[in-house]
Order: sequence, then structure tokens, then C-alpha cells
Amino acid sequence: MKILEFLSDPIIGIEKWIVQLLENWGVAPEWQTFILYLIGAAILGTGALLFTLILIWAERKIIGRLQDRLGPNRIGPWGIFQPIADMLKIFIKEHIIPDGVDPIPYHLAPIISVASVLLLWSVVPFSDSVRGSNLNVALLFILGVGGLGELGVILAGWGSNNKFSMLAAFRASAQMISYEVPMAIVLLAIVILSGSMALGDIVKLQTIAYIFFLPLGAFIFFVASIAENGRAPFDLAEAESELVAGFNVEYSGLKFGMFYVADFLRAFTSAVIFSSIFLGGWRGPGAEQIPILGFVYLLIKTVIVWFLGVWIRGSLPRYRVDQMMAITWKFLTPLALALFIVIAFVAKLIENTNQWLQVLIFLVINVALFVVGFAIVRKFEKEKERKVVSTKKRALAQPTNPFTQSETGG
Amino acid sequence: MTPLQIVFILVALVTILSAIFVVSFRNIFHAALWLIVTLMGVAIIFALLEASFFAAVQILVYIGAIAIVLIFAIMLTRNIMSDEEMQINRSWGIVLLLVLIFAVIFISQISSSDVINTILIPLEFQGQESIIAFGEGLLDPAGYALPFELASLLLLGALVGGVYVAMDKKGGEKK
Amino acid sequence: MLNQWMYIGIFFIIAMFLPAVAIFLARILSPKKPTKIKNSVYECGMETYNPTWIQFKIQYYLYGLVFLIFDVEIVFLFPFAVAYGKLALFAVVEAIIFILILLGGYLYVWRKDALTWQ
Repeated sequence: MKILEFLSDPIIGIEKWIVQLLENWGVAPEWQTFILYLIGAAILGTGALLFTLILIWAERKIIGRLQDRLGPNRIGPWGIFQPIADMLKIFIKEHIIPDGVDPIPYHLAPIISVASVLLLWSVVPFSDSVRGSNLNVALLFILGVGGLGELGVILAGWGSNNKFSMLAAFRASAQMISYEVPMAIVLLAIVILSGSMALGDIVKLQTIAYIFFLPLGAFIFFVASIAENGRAPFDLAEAESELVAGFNVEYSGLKFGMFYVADFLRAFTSAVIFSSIFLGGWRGPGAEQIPILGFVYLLIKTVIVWFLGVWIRGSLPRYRVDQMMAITWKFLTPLALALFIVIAFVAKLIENTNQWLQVLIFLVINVALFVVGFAIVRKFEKEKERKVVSTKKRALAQPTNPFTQSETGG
Repeated sequence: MTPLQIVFILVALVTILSAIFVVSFRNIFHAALWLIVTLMGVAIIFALLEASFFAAVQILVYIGAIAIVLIFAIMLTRNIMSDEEMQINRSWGIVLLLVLIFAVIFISQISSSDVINTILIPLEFQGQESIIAFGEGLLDPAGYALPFELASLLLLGALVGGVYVAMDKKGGEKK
Repeated sequence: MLNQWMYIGIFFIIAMFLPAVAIFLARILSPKKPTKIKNSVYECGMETYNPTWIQFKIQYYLYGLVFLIFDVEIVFLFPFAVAYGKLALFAVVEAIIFILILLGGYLYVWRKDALTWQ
């Protein structure tokens, strides 16, 4: 029976064993918590970083298949050792430091970028009993470390002593801050529903997943977190042909590898947070009695959301920068604000009714707002339609090469 | 010396040191970076006082928004690649002496006054209730509802004013 | 609550420490052959003609400003959202007035064309 008990919640089992060990050594209780936190944080941080390897491999394979090609498949079966080979290669590359860089921002930028992504893992509840930190302002904290990420980008741009990289860094950070606004407003709506900013409480209170209450909010949050991450179709900062490689053009070797890791890990982390807030995190049948099941449920939900993100990355073309800014400032933010106002008002009116009725009313409001918003956008689009300049019968420019001339030209 | 005190002393030292660096470094971008360290130090002090909401708000608003707008403003108004002006003028000795005297008087009076110098008591609300109480107080008509609405007017003024001034310059650029 | 922040503090230090150690390790393991050309700043393959001078668009500052104002507004609304369950309809109307005032400002900014990337 003890084995079963251990298996149903292995992490708590290990924790109890360590506490027992420390007690036998005569360590005071505060130091016990401190050592436990230290070990837990170290394992979580290293685990998240190492998990990135699997993520990189999976993403490259999936994007390869979406683009009708095999992904990496030479190194190991199905190319599974590819990220390890990449990691080894990046480790031994030379660190070229250009002249005139500011040493502190230059060296600090990749560290801050990775740190800001890793910090998000500290507030996520993994199961009923296992979590990093049950901060009572976890949602604000999540928004705040997004700000730290923007800071990392600006430091990278500034520290490189390169005009182009500074311009690209400003563009990337403008994109990131613009997409934080709709995210924050949707999180406000979630807090109205749950009455608490702590992620642990939000997951516990989701007897009905919040995605059914606020599908429009989930959509806005999803789009905003993809854009904040800087992935396609919003990956202007990385693939702009006029700004070369973007803000990390002067980084080589592992420092560039760190930006790369931060990018891929951020996608998965946003998926974890999305599934905790909207899909119910570790909740599922039997998750309260067998906590390890909760962890499995969280993993499944996260992988689904992450796969959706990778799917979108492989399918949609990139947005221009003015389209991208127009999407957030002229579509997502007003929509999120309208959603919040209506939800705040209506939720107070229907506060004491049956829960299923509430869900229905919320769903109706969401769909109505989405339809109205889309109709307005469509109307504005129609107004800007340009006149058709030419018909099919205009004369084409004729090349003077006799071999390619034909009767209709061209 | 409890660990809390040690942490507080360390953080306070870092904050004060980086505040001094903010005003004394020549390169303005470095000064902005030290300002970010100062703001982070203040956020940690908020967290040590168990004012978690304010710690998170400090990180979100000050470091995530104000510091970034400050950096944008610095980039906008200076030719960054070449500025090496003197940050100190000639009377710095007398000023330092006066500031030290003032600081000694100030700190000695505060630490011996009964009103300000109290022991930290644990908050009466724990966890989420402190924020709930804060929210209720903020919106209570007998509480802080009027300052709440006035704050929104202040933000409106800032927004409209900032955009108005900036749009003039932007319009001027286009011409 | 202090325990929770302590965890985050520890995690932050570890999160800064791990990449720093990795980069330091890579620094030791990598070859070091700095040449003058490798060390020059990347400028699309050409030498810079004039001292560098950046034409900084004011658009970035405008986005930063609007983001800042909305950030502060959202921070004001978070305690309202947390205390939502205990508030009367009157308080909800107050908060909606708060948002509407700022929405008016947002409309002004929109009409002034400050949100369009030029």
C-alpha cells in the first residue's frame, strides 16, 4: 500500500523523505523550508531548461511535416538526438564580442531573457499538492515578468552597439508591450469570475473551465501570448529582411542559444499558463485523489495548446508591422475592453442564478461581441478597398529578347 | 539578526547604492539601468513587508512600463553615441556636507519618534483577503471612490497631453 | 506569504544562475581567436561612413505612453476585480465609469492617428 501511496504522489513522497532526513540531522524548520525550496527550484529550473531540447526537436519535426518535408531525421531514430547535437555545437562556438559593446547590458541580456521565462514556471500549480509558489498576486506577477522579457530585448539591442540591432530591439519591444494590454484586460475578466489572483485558486475554482465562460477572452489571450512570444505570424523581430537577424545579430555561440531557448520555452510556458487559466489546469476526473494524474492532465492540455501554437506558426504568413500593431491597438484592445465592461456589468446582475444559466449567458455575450467586433472590422475593411487599376487587356512590357516574345507579350 | 533583517539590509544597501549611481553616472543609459535596479530593490522591500500586491505592481508598472518609456524617451532626445558631460558641478563638497547633516537630523528624529518607529506587526488579512479589503476600500463611496475616479481623470490628462505634444512633433516630422 | 516570495526569490537567483553558468562554461570551452574583422560591428557587410546617428521614430514613444497609461489603469482595476464578489452594483458602475473615462481618451488617441504605425 505504501508503494501505491508513493506512486500516487511521488513528489510529496520525496519531499517528506527529505524533511525526515533534515529533521534527523537537526536542522531548524525555517532552514528546512529554505533547503526544500532550493532543491525544488533547482530541479524545476533545470528540468524546464532541459525540457526545451525535446520541445525544439518536436517543433522542428512538426513544422517540417506541415511544410511537407521530414524534419531532422539523421541523428538518432527520428532525429531525436538532433537538439543534443545542436547544443554541443553551440556550446563550442566562439563567442565573438564586437568592438565597443557595453559589457554589462550585452552579457546580461540573454540571462535576463531566459530568467524571465523561467520565472513563469515558479507560479504554476502542477497538481493539487505540488506547486512552486502560491503567490497571491500570481496574475500580476505573470504580467510583470513579461515586462522583464521586454527589458531583456532592449538590453540586447542597446548592448550590441549596432544601429540595426537597436532598431530591431525597439520594434520587438514595442510589439511585446502592445500585446500585453489585451492580455492584462482578459486576465482582469478572469479575476472577476474567480475572485482571486492566485493561480492555485483559479485552477481550484474551475468546476466549469473558464474557456466556456469566456471563449472570446481565451481567443484574445491566445493571440496576444503568441504575439508577445514573437512567433509567427508575428515574428517580425526575427525575420525582417531589412533588419537582418534582429536584435540578436551580434550574439554568437551560447548567448544566441539562450535567446533561442527562451523563445521556444516561452511558447510552452504560455501554453501552460493558458491551460491553467482557461482549461482548468490539473483538473480532471480523479485528479484530487491521485495527484500525479493532475500532472498528466496538465501535460495533455498544455501539449494540445502548444501544438495549436506550432500549427499556427507553420501555416500562416507573417504580418507586416503596421498590420500587427493595428491588430492589437484597433481590434484586440477595444474588444477586450468591451468584453470586460459587459462582463463586469452582467455578472453582477446574474450573480445569484444557476451556474449553467450563467455559462449560457456568458457564452451568448461572447459570441455577440465577437460577431459585432468582426462586423465592424469588416465594415472598415470594405471602406478601404482600392479602385481596381487595370483590366486584363492592358499592354504588357515587351522584352526585347526574340526567344521569349510571343503574341500576347510576356 | 534574523534572516529577514539580513536580507533587508542587503537589499536596502543595493537600492541606495544604485540610487547614488543613477544620479552620478555620466552615461545616461547606464543611469537608466541603475534606476531599474533601484526599482527592483524597492519591489523586493515591498515583498519583504508582505505587501505582495504592491511588489507585483512595482515590477509590472515601474520596471515593465515606466523604465521602458524612460529608455524610449532617452533614445528619442539624445544622440546616444556621444555624450560625455560632467555630471557634477563645482560646489559638490558643500552640498555633500549639507546633505549629510540633513540626513543625520532626519534619521535620528524619525527613529526616535513614536509614531513612525513601530515594530512590524503581521497584517490582519492574509492571502487574498488583503487585496479584497483593498478593493472594497478603493470603491467604497465612503472610502476612496472619489480619488479612484480622480485618478482616472489624471490618467486621461496624461494620455491626452502626451499624445497631443507628441503628435505635433510627429506631424512636424512628416512635413 | 513571505515563504512564497522567498521561493520566488530563490527561483529568480537560480534562474539567473543557470544560464550564467552555461554561458561561462561555453566561454571556457570555445576557441578564442579575435581578429579585427570578426570583431567589427555588423553593418550589412560594409564599413560605416558617418558616425552613427539613429533616426528614432516617435511612434515607439507613443506606443510606450499608451501602454503605460493602460497598464496603470489595469492595475487600478485589479483590486476591483478581486473584490468583485463583495461589491454592490453601484461599485461596478463606478469602475465602469473609470474605464469609460479612459476609453474616451483612447478614442481621442485613435482619432489623432497616434496608433497607426507610419
